[in-house]
Amino acid sequence: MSSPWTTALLERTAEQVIVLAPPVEPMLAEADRLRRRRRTAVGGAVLAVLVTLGAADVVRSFVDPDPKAWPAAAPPDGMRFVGVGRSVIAVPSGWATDATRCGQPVRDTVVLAPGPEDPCRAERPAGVRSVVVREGEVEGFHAVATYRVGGRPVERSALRCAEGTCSTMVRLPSENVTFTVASSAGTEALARAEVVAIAFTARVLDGHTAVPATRMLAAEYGRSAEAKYVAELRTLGLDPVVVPAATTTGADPGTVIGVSPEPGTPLEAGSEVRVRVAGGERAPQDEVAVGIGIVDEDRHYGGLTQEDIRRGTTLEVSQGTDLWAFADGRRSRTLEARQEGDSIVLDFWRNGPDYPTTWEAVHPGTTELTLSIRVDGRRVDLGTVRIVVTE
Amino acid sequence: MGRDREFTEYVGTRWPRLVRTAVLLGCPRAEAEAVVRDALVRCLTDWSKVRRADDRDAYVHRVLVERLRAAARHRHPEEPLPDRHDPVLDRLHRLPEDQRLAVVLCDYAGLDELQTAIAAGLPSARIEACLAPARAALATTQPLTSYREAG
Repeated sequence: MSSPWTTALLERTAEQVIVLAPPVEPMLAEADRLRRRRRTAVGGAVLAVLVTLGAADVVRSFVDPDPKAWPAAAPPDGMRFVGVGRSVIAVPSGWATDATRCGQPVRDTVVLAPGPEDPCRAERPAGVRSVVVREGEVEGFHAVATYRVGGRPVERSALRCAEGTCSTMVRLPSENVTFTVASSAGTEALARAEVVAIAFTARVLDGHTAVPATRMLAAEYGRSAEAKYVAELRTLGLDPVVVPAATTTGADPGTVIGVSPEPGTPLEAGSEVRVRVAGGERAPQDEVAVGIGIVDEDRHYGGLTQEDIRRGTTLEVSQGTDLWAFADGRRSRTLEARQEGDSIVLDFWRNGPDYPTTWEAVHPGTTELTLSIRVDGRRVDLGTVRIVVTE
Repeated sequence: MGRDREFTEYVGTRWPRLVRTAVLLGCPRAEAEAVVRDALVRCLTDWSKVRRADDRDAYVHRVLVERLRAAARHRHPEEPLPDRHDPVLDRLHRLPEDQRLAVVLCDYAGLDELQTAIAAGLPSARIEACLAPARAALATTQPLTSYREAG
């Protein structure tokens, strides 16, 4: 019950406040504009994710997922799988990797190497989506639901929204891996839908292993980063190929400055991973001079220089042409070649001077020829050229 | 009745009191109409929620209180409030927020204690406990003393 004395006092005070007529029309127009903007935002970005997933009722499925609804071991169109080990989650293809500053994502990104937690107390920017991949126990994870995808258990935490950011955690207990999916984009409804849509794709991808992160390598291992990383790739069953940087980037020699496919990409066992390493003053490929020679049926000679090979030149030859790769220098005896295509075949003249890097052009078509040397047991690529055989 | 018509009727009858409620709750007069407009636009954007609300007035006041709090957060702490010359407003400003909400929403906005609890986002018991000290504090202001003596 109100107090008449206080009411009278407040009424007398309030009467002194002059109030103009309510701006009804502008309010109606503004509300319409807000509703349109919200519909557009939700209808755009969420549609992109949800439709891409091919699951119209993905939100409902997240609560009670049907394993049959998501049997694909391939990411939906427009998305790619990223993760660690066999654990993957699908994110839109355009997302960056480890695009963070002060522990916060600066654009849409998957974070494979989270680093120290919020080292400079930065606030998460608005309009950003992220997936953080963590191995081991994650503090604060509390499963509210467990379901199975592809026959493997998946646990998820509650979906929470606070201060403009919605997030949830999805855990693959068999792999001891947790994905934290978060979005501060658009309205809360949009953020919730995007988080759910992405979280739903987490799964174990049998027969695959993800390219490990490189971001913290230099900080943790310094000049031995390359050796450490190559050893890790081998342990994972991948095939590392070290590609020295053509020019120094300012990084210490031995620093891993790039990996292809990029970190987080799941690969089948035995797949090749090209590791770009800062070469320092003298990269291994500089210790050998390499070239390709050719002679056609009319005894016309030609060939490619070392620069041509490093540049990836295309060489056109006619059927019946003989080709050979040669090297000079400290590591020339380790020269080897890999070929993709069958327009040239190995010349079996074992006593020839360049065996086994000699070929004969036998069919019209294109063959990619990659030349490499061995450095302390590691394969170091020198370049890949295209040999186009014409009739 | 259509949404826009419902809204227009609602605003037509409530607008002045909502703006004055905002001032009594501590909003500078120059900002009060803008804050109330912001709150009402938010209500209109989700008018179906207002329709579904058990108590429409409590819902609208809840949104208004949230917008007032948001506006206060963005105000510089050193920024002087322009209405301190009024002894009642000055006394209201010096009350703890819970007490100010309780007495203004109950004794001026015309909400009962349950509606006030909903609007303020506080337990009913808290509203009940806040009312007595708030009314006692206001009773010491000069205008009320004069009013009581005159009445």
